[in-house]
Amino acid sequence: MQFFARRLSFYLVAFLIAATINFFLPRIMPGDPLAIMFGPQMARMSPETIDAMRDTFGFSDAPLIQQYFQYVVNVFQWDLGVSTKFFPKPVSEVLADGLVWTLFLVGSSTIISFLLGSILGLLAAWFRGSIFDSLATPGALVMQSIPSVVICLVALIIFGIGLNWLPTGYGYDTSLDPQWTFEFAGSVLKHSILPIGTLVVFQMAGFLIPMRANMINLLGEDYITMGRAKGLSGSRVMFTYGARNALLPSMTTLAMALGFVVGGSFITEVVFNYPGIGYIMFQAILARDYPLVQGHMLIFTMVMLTANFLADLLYVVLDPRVRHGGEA
Amino acid sequence: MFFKLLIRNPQAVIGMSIMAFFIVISLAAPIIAPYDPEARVGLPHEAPSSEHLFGTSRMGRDVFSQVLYAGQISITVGITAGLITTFIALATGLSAGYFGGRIDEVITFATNVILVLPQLPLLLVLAAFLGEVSPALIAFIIGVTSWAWGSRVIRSQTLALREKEFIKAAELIGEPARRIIFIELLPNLISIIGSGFIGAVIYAVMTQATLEFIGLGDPTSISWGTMLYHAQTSSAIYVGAWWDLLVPCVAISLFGASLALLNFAVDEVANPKLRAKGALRRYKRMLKRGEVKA
Amino acid sequence: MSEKLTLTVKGLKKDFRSGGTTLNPKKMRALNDVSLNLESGKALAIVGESGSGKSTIAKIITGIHDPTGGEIELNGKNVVKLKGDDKRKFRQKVQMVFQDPFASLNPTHTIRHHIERPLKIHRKLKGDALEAEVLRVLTEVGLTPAKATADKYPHELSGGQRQRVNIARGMAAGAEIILADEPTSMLDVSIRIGVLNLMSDMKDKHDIGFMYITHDIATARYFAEQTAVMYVGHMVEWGDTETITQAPKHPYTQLLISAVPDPSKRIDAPLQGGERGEIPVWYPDSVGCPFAERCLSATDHCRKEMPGVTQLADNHFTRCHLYS
Repeated sequence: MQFFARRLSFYLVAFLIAATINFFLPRIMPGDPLAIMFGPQMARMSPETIDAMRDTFGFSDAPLIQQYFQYVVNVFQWDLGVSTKFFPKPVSEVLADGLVWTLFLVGSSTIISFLLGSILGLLAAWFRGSIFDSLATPGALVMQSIPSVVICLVALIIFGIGLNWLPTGYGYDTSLDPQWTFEFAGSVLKHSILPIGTLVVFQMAGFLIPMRANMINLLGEDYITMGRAKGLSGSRVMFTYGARNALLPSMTTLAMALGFVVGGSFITEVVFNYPGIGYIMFQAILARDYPLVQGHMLIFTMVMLTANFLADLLYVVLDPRVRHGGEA
Repeated sequence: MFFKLLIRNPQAVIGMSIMAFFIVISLAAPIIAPYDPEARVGLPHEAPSSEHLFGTSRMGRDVFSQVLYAGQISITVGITAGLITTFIALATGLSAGYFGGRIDEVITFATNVILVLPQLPLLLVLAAFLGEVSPALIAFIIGVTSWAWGSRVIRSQTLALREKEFIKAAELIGEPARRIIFIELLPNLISIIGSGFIGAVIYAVMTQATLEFIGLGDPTSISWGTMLYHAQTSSAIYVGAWWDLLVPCVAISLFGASLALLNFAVDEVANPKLRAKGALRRYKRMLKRGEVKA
Repeated sequence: MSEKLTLTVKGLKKDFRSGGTTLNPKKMRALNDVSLNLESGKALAIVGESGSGKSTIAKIITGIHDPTGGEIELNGKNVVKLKGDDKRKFRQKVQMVFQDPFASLNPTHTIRHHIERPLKIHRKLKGDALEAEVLRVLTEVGLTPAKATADKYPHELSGGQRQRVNIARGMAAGAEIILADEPTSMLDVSIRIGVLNLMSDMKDKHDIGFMYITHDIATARYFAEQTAVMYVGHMVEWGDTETITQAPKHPYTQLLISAVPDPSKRIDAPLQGGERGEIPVWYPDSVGCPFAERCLSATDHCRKEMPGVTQLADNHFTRCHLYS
């Protein structure tokens, strides 16, 4: 329990630091911070809205520390101000709309890459030195080092435009009403193939490489040799003896990857105009909608912290050494 | 010895060749490039031809000349950011690992915070507030925000080395801390630092492309990222000018891939465990000869 | 060597943290009331099983660990909290040879580097004089041809050769006392004797004092004049090596001696003095004799009260209720 208390207080501090960065950014830029934050949109806003926004972001004549305190209290109440781009929608609402799409995208792509990557990594380790291994392993690494922009654009050019197999943008067919119908669900699925596919290509190596390395290390362990010596079949040794143990580090990466990929999904959403928080961020940047840009970073921080906490939980559940006291 | 092993590794050779190729043609851009990359030398979106090897852009600029010059900036940004990242990672990781105590606590805390903060959104927010960021500024902000992972790796390696008896022995003969760090510890970290640096360069090239692609960069500079940005904003794919988009894509990918191959090889050479296990190979040989059953 | 050196350890105590929380740490006692004497030109063997605290003594003397209590003196001068130049001088005189010959040399440097450094630091040698001394020291420890050895990297040497480099390093510093922490335990049996003979030579020719830490009481007899037997952080019997190995008094020493394989004895001959059993952990508040759990002669008294020191002969001491 002490372990969790320590982790949670750490996450709290990390979140506070993210909020602090947000607070100081407009204030250290040259010029009037209020004008920087709300820019040209100020003209469109009523005096009452401007006052409310001042309030939210702590712009007042009070000393800096008081402004800061005011801002932090608002952030912790999840009052992130009003979006200037999607005026008069509050930032928190805009983000909530997008988060559903992003989590769908990232959740499914992470699960697919985890399964695919782990199995391929296992095979690469088992058939170490084979043609499969010497193609799959560097291949995965190379894929990982190609920017997602490039993967997305190439996928878009080939499947979306060249072959015209799949829709090139948005989360569903806009001529349909968002309802719980098969037609709508089918449209959502069809629109998600390209974004999820590109994310899988990008993510898979992250599971394949460590899985292979863990497995190779494990193959040298005595209990694997023992399993062999007992006359167990290759696949049995591979799955019940090796994979289970090699998976342990992968499982914790899984949770962390989730947080990381939410950031990585940004570009995918931009290229495919997918209505998640990444695309919203893109629009916010183009429109210089700073409250939304800042809110976006905060929600990303929240996702990262949640994912890390899940990783902690998984770690404790999976590794008995941590469960029974001791340092993590 | 390390270098010799590296040269014998096919992945390393391919990686190094591609990388060297890119660096050479970028440096030689003023000689090779047929046109001024910023001059309008043709009609908008001319398809590749003998006159324009990779076609022209929407603005009628020669894509081949652009991609050569763009390499200069993109590779420089990548290497600069990589150097900044590696330097900070090394300074913090070594100090935390060697000195321990308070210094370690502070550095580890900072590292952990940066690791849980979302990298890309943080960069986006920074870049958004800074306005159209120049390549130099991009290198700087990537460098100062992405050292945490390397720092953690170097710290844990330093901690492990610090407990090694040869470090204790060096302390016992009275070596000063500065010599222990730089002469005794550092040479043992070279492969980690090397692969960390390559990783940082890959990350920086990718991130620069991303930032510039979405329009946070300085659109007047010529880099692979701004080429993508211009191609995208001029709807190049939708009008069928695939070359405008594909050429920078291929350049970034090949350069990234060459670094990744090199890194893979460095890992393989530096970590003998990942090399095909002797025992395993022997086992397989026996398998082939039918001495054991799978 | 100008004057004889005497390293004296008095009432040394060392507690390590073993679990518990930061605010309420649980401690175990690795060393309890250890006192010994080490002179130049003489060898003292510290004999005990793993976990008996024998290496900890050397690590405290060299300052790798801080003592929890007790004193360490070199010719009567306390050396526990030395700083700066005094610390450097102490380090020159008292050097250590580590157990693991594969971990105690830096893999990225040549043998020359390892020998040069102490020569530069402590004897300020330069240029030709430095090179000549490097070669002389290497030759002295039997690493010939010295020139070729100096250019090698540690991975090109065998375990025994590396251990010779370690001894050479101590000599290069100008050490007068060398603390050798199980210097032969990781070597092949066939080359152990070579390293022991080398240390023996150093002792006789150069008047170097050795603390020879070992779990092998047989080699102690071969090399050291004095022996101290350690059990769970306590000295249980000490004095003249010949007496201790020929007529051990403490049940634990008897157990150790009878465990040395002897071809003239039947393999199923019962071990004297005690039974096999778990080695206990000692805590600051533990009571009784540490060996009581395994001792065949233990009485209730032994479990309740720590035995005091009994002098059995001129140079023979023990801590056992049987003799008090």
